Amino acid sequence: MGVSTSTGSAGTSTGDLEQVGAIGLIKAIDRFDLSRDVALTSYATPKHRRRDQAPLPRPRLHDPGTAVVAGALDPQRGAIERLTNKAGRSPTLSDVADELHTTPEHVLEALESDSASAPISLSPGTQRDGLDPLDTIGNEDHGFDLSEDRASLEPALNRLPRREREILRMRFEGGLTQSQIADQIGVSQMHVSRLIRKSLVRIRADLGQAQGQSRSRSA
Amino acid sequence: MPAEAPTRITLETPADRAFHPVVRLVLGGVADRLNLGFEELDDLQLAVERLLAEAGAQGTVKISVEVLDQGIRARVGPLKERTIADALQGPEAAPGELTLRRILETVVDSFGVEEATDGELVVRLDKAVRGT
Repeated sequence: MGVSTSTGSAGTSTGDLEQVGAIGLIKAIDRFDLSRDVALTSYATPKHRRRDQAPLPRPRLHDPGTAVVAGALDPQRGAIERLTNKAGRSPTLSDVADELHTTPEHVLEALESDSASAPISLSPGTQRDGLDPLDTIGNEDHGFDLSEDRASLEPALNRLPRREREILRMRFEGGLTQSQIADQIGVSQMHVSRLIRKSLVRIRADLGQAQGQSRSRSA
Repeated sequence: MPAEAPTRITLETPADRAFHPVVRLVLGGVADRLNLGFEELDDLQLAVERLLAEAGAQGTVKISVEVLDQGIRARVGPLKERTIADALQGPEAAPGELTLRRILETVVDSFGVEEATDGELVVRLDKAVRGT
């Protein structure tokens, strides 16, 4: 996965890069035309790069100090995963700080800088092309309705990528923890956390927009 | 935590989403002193964020974070609309429905709607510290 690694940026884990890179590579192979006299590497590399570059989370860093914090995020992710596996429970901030020989405040700042970046969607496209990494779960796409105002909330929920809806269902209906979901779909717990948070924010924003439009029409 | 130490932090912040990271930092700082697990902290932050979102983008919102013997208690308010309080106190969400109530039921150990001394409605969130 040399291309993915070479395009890495601060705040993006190697695992995330490899995940997106793999999808791009598979798509490139799928579309590669054998009848053309072009090497696969020549064809795939530009596409692979584009796929890597487009959705990468970009940390919103404002000063060199924060950049140092964000740069520490990859070992932090690794430490969280390691400690979770070792102890069989979610580590505390102090556990992570001890593991990385830093302070809990430093860890907290790094987490905050990470939460400001946009997570890579697990369903990058709208086409159901079978390349979604969550397709390996094998669950059906259960409906997940929002009941408070079904008429306006359903469209907001339905605008989410299919697999983000599935993650919401696993968390809020299935009662799975973030770590359990992460294990099932093969991403980090932090990534699951960010996807859940972003999905809920998006639903809320879509609802607010729909309510605003409704008020405008009735005025 | 010594008995005489302060056990409550109160924060009044603009409701605008730009200030949510400040709230998360405060929650994280308190949670660390209670050895709250990373994932449990994330759950509590999510619960508070959802309530802040319901408070709207204008005006201010108060958050109090209280250290309990076996956990952490947060209060968020005032709620913008009574309908939210009604929704939180209403019947359980049916299977397959995603409501604010269901989200809170998932991410905190208990919650409730309280009337503050000034008559405004606030939501109480309790998150227990699991055994270490």
